[in-house]
Amino acid sequence: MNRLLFILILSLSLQGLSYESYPSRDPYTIISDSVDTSLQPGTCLVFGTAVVQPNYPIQNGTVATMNRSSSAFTDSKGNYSLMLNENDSAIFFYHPEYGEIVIWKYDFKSQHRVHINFYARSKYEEHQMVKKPVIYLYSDSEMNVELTLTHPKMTFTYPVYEDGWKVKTLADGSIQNRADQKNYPYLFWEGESTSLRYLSENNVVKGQLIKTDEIVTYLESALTAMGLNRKEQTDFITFWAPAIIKSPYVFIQFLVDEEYDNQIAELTVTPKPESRRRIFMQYTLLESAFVPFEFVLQEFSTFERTGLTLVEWGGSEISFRLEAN
Amino acid sequence: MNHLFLLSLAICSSPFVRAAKRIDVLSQNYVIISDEFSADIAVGKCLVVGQIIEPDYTGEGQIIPLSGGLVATLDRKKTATSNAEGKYSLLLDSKDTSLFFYKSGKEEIVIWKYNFRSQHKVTINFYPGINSSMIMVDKPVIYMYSDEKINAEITFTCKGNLTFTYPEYNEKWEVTIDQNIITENKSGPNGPLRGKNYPYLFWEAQQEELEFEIQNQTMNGFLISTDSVINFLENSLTALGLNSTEQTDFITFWAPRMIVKPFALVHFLIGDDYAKNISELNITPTPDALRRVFMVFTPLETNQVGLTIKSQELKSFERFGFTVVEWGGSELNHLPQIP
Repeated sequence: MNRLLFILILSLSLQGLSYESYPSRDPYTIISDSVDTSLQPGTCLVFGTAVVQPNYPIQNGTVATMNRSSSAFTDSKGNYSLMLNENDSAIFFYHPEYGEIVIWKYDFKSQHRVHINFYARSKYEEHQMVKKPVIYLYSDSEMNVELTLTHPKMTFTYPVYEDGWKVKTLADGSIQNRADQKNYPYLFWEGESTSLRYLSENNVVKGQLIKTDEIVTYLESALTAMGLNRKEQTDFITFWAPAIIKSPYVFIQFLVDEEYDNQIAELTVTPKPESRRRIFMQYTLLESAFVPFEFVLQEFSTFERTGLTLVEWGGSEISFRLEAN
Repeated sequence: MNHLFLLSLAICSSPFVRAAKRIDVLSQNYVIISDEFSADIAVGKCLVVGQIIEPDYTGEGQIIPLSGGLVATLDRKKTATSNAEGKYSLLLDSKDTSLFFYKSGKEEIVIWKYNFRSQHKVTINFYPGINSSMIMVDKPVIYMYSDEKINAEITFTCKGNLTFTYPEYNEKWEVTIDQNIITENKSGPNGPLRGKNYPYLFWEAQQEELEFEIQNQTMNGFLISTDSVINFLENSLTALGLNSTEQTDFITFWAPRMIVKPFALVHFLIGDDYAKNISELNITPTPDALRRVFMVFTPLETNQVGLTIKSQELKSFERFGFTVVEWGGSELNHLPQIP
């Protein structure tokens, strides 16, 4: 079927149609695989081009074996060449802006030349849902509070957000919306984004790769470490864990406080809360324990709840893209 | 992939302009083959013809016609059935705008909007797959309240398979309830341990069957414009006696899923209907007050469903002593099955 797909794409492209009208193009194509006796026995030469649709070369992409024992970069024309061992069976292409493409199984034979082209997707294609941020507000005594949120595209809010939320905190931890005098356990918003990326320092990402069997234990300990109470934790876990357990592995990075302000949405609160915690979980669902970039364990610190306290959490499923350094 | 094969055949034998159009609808599992003027058709009428074709699992590119499939307008005023060759023919009014294909066990296909023009003959082929989609029983949560501290044991049997529970459900939940806080009772080697606190118990499942109940083309429920979904849910849940926390949890979970289309068909399964269709809940000691609410809904592009909708009566309940409230819901991704 892959061959058929290729012929189909070829015939369409000959008619001057752009690739973008084709919804399900394969991310890579094996163009040829032929014997080359000039190669050393036991080695296999892989070469090709990496492009982003419709046909722009990708420079500085990595092509490597899974354990990175062999790796190469793409040049200004998107070309690469990589010498493999005949025992290798998997390679990947990765670029921080365009995500990764994995060839899980291929029989790289001794003294063969294999031509493989990679077709990455445009960074603008990803449609990210910023899901269910909820905002809790607590204070010992009743207090009038105004909140304004800066996010380019809010899709749903509850209670309805109009130029801001004007509320009163109540002693039992709930929030009274001054517009309708009704009580709410939290303020809710949801939005859309295309700009979410994993944060990195020198191309190293702070995060955690988790077997989803253990997701509940992981989230309980991470959220406890960040100082969320049991009610907040339960709301978080029952929202996210069912979505995450659909895949065997997940990569998670939390954006905390200023990172949340900068990457997701700014929240202005008057009066200013004495203590504040904002937590955003970015994650990528995985079929195997493979992360295309280097990462180190993310550590968390708690916060102290005193006076007017604001806690917010949200999250989004994204693909492996790094923020441009 | 099978559709692809058919399409690739089509591309080889037809002008490319049309081929490009077909690619666009690939994910929609129907193809508008042609739409042409025909003086033989009466003014104000539009003739729709075509073939229902099953996916070719042999990969040999055979065309397997599907007979006995229903093709109809959404209001079901005009219907046709495919013959042994999979062919159907249906005369529409030019003001009709939507069409669907249905056969039990097959994927349902809806064409929500098409301009069926007067004196035109439109050829539309349908390529239904097998309907294997499971219905998600989403997020039932169970709140428990008691002024006096009590121990309770909760067991439930659901029609589907559990996909997630929190706290973990192992044949039962054993908890202590104090005001509105639920604490899991855990046993350790030296006696009982104090477990974690939870605001509610959570479970989720997948089940094979769930339908709106329809009798004599009439359904008890609501056909709402999703512009007003918040008001609708607030009013319904208030009428059912849910408090503000329960309502907020419900609305923030479901409203974002309902606003994706302009209309929604809604029915609430309450009490015994919840037990019969979704899950039975057993709690020891027996709660003084129990309320179980399950919302079944289908998002719709139009409000033409060919049904009479009778407003469902929603009654409140009294909270006293040991009170238990549960809510959940399911989104049905097909039109109501009219018997």
